[in-house]
This record gives sequence, structure tokens and C-alpha cells, in this order.
Amino acid sequence: MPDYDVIIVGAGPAGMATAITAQQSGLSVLVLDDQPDHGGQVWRDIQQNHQHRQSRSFLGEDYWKGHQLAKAFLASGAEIQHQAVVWQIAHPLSLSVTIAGIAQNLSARAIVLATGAYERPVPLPGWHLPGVMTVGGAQTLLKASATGADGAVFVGTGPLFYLTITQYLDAGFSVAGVCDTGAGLGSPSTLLTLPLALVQPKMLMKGLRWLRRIKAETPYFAHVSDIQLEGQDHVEAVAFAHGKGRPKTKMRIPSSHVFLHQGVIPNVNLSMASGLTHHWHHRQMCWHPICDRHGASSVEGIYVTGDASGIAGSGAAVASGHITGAAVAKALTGITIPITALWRHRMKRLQHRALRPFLDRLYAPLAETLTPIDANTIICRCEGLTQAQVTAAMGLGVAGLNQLKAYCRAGMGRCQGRMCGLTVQALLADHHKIPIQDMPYYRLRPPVRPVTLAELAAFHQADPDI
Amino acid sequence: MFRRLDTPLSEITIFWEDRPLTAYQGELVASVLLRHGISITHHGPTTGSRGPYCMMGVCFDCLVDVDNRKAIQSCQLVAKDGLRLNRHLNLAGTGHPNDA
Ligand code: FES
Repeated sequence: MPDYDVIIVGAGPAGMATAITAQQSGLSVLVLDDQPDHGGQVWRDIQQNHQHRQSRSFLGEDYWKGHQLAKAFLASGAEIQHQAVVWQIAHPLSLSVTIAGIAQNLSARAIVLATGAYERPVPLPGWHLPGVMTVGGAQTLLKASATGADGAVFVGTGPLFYLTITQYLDAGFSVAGVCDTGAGLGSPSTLLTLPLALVQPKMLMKGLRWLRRIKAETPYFAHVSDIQLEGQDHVEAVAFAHGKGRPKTKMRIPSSHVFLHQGVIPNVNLSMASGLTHHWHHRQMCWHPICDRHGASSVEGIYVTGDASGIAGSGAAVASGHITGAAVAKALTGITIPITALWRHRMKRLQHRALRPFLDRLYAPLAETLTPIDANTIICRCEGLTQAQVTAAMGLGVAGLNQLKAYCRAGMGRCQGRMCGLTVQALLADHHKIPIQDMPYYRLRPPVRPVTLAELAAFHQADPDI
Repeated sequence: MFRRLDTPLSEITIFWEDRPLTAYQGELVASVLLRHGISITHHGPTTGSRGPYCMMGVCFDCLVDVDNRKAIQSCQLVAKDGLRLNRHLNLAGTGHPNDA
């Protein structure tokens, strides 16, 4: 007998929604989440913050919306385990997880990966310096402990970028500069996707409001490129070029806090290491696991839902979670949820997804962050490898990423390629003059998180069959 | 420098290289450090100085040594009274076997 009917990895919007629907269908559900509390990154600490809603109003309406789902999730009866780090999925279906330093094996009839997304690496010169953080990281500090920094410079583009700056302003932090790297509405292909995006007029208006406010209340620079983060042991300034004119205007803003953002990408390490088939998403410029519309992956019994299966935002993730929860219930018990409910979720997901082609184009990552050309830019943060070192290794006749890893250790570190993988892939594809989708990613193997020898020893003792 | 907008009641003390730091129950260790102006959590011969970057457990740049455990992600660690922290010496990339 498996330990649970379903184990869900991740307690963000998609994971919570999956759990609610699966539990309602009578399945036994366990949710494993690596953070201290459920809510995912988008609704981080929602339950706790809700008690201080007055003093934390700067988090904004969209944030508070998460409270309803979190409440329903807690009431659902699904079991939740916080700070649980899943590092392997095995067959017959089971997963290995470390909870409070103790590794264990749990089996299930179905596993749902709701591992969400993380911010695309932003390999700019100096991005490794202390004081440089992601915009999402800055936002986490705001949500987790109402903490922020005065005089920061924000560099990037994307919904999370403008939202976090707005939250910063609402919270009363001074902002030293906003360097917008977005391409703007100029390109015809962006404009062509606009009509579809009009399905979501409220979201578009919200984006416009954010931007108007940021332009009015901060030193704002558009069409930013040629970015350098300067400093020795800590970031001291951001140098960049901006404007539409040629040559662009040069600018330098001193600051000891710089926040970067170039969009988010699915967190696929676990799905890749578990043998799921992935494909390259040309527009989002990242790997997606191949799934059917319910989230069923290429591996029997494993589902992927929410942003982990492709970036569509939290609204779509909630709908996807419900849809996947229903699919799992149907597969395991034959029970179907009311067709009206299912259609409601499908409609909602469609509406949210309609916005994506437009957003993906409008907020496309800056070229210099995709394929860094500066020789001293750190590519692999874990091993401290520069662009020059990685390119030198490529010159040794390296065919793919795995071989490159053996030559220069890029991707060997603790983050297991999360911070360098896409960059190394782009550089190597460039080197071989092939399209990026033809350059396979690292072959990832479990454990997908560092596991200590002590944990492993205890694990093997507990389970002599392994 | 990072600052906190509110002052929760549940004050605790953690130690950074033997220096006492005021923290609050439930606060992330990385957050406490940043609030006290400590932005370099680990350093090493190949990586140089590093500090929290992603705040969500992905980048492993917020590593600290905690009590007698080495290389712990401070953005994933909740502060507890009396916690003793030290800057982590990161030997990644040097092929050093002791880099646990
Ligand atoms: S700051 Fe990235 S793992 Fe902690």
C-alpha cells in the first residue's frame, strides 16, 4: 500500500489548488514544501501577514487575494509538511525527502510537481557582488519581514519588476533609480498579440498604472542596456546606457543595493532528474516539461502543474492546480468533479493565458543577459567561473553541456545548474552556431538538492531495501 | 542598508561571529543579517565574497555556518534565540574534500 494517494511537491498557488481538489475527491493528500510556510513565492507568508493587513497594506490587493485559497487549503484536510526538501523521485512511484535533517522515502499512487518558478539568471558584469539581489528576493524580504532598503536601484523588466517597485514605494522606501530594460511596444510582433491580451483589460490597466506611477515617482530610465554592476567586494554603482537615441546616453547611479529581474522560468530540476521529457519554449526561452492539458507528464503517474509546466502567472496556476487535482482524482478513483466546475477552471486558465504571448514579447529578456559577451562576467556562480573561462573550455572541442561540465565544472556546484544552465546552453549553442533548442540541457540526476552524508547514512539504515 | 518597517514584540538574539544581533521570532536569518548591514555571508578563493541573491533557496549564495553545521542556506533558516552563525568559507571549485 502506498503511503498516500497523492503527494504534491510545492505549496504555492498550483500546489494548494491541486491539494484542495484532490482532497475533496476523497484522496489522501500530502503536500511537501521547502519554504517555512505555504503560499509559494507569490503568496509567501500570506496567512501570517493577513493578521497584520493594516500595517502591511503595501503588499497590495493581488497579494491579499491569496488568503482565500490558503484558508481553503488549510481547511481542506490535506496534510502539509513545511521545510521539506524533495531530492529524488523513484519507481515504483516514491520520493525521497529531507524533513528537519532526516531523510525518508514516501510512496504515492500519483506525484504532482507544483514546484513553481524562479527568476531567470541575470548574468551581467558584477551580478555576483554582495548587495546585488533579485527583485523577487527583495520582494521576499518585504513579505517575510516587512524589510526593505532605501536608495536601491531596480534593473530589469516584467510584471514582478513593476509590482515590487510599486510595493517599495507604497511601503515608503526611497528608490534611487529604475532602469527599464523592456523593449516597449515598438515591435510589430508585440502589437499583434495585443488584441488577444485585451481579454484581460484589468490586468493591462494595472500594468499601465504601475508604470505611470514609477515614472512619476522615481528617477526612471527607459531602453536600458550595456549594464555594469561596479564594485570590488560589494556593489557600489550601476553603470548603463539608456534612451532611444544613437549613441545612447551613458549614466551611472551609485548604490549599495541593486535588484535585478528578467522574468521567471519554470523550476524544472526535479522534473528533469525524474526523467520527464521537456521541450524548449521558443518564446519564453526556457525548458518546459511536456504535459497534456491536465498536467499528465511523459512519465506514468507524474503530473506537473502551474508555472512549473510553463509561465502563466498565479491566476492560471490556481486554475491549473484544480484541473490537475481533478485529473488525478479521476485517474485514481474514477470520480469526476462537476463539469461546470471544471469548465470554470478551464475558462479562467484560458483568460490568464491569453495575456502571455503579449507579456512574453513585451518583457522579453535583454540580449546581453542571455548571451553574455563580457569576458569577466561570472557565468557559474557556484564555481566562480567567468565567461572567458567557460568559453575557453568550449574551445576544447566540447559537444554538449555535460562534457563542458567535466571540463570546467560549470553546473557542478550546489545550485546544480539553476544559475548557469541556460547561459551555458546559449553560449555553447552560439559557439556551435546551432539554434538554442538543439543544444540539450545538462543531464540532471538525483539528488536535485545537496544531501549530506549523514542524511544519506540515516536514510539507508532506515530503509535496508534501497 | 535594509530596515524593518515594524517592531515585533518577540525579540530574540542571534550571534554573528560572536557579535549579538537583535532578531525577531520567525525572521529569516538572511533577513536579520541584511538588516544589520551584513551582506557578505560566505567567501572563498574561487568565488570571492558573496551574499544572499535569490532569497528562495535556489542560488546557494547565502551560505553560513550555523552552530556546528556548515554551508547552510541562511534564506531558508528561521532565526531562533541563541543561534550562533559564522561566515562560511566556501572551497567550491578548489577540489577541496572538506567543503561539505
Ligand atoms: S539567497 Fe539564494 S539560496 Fe539563499
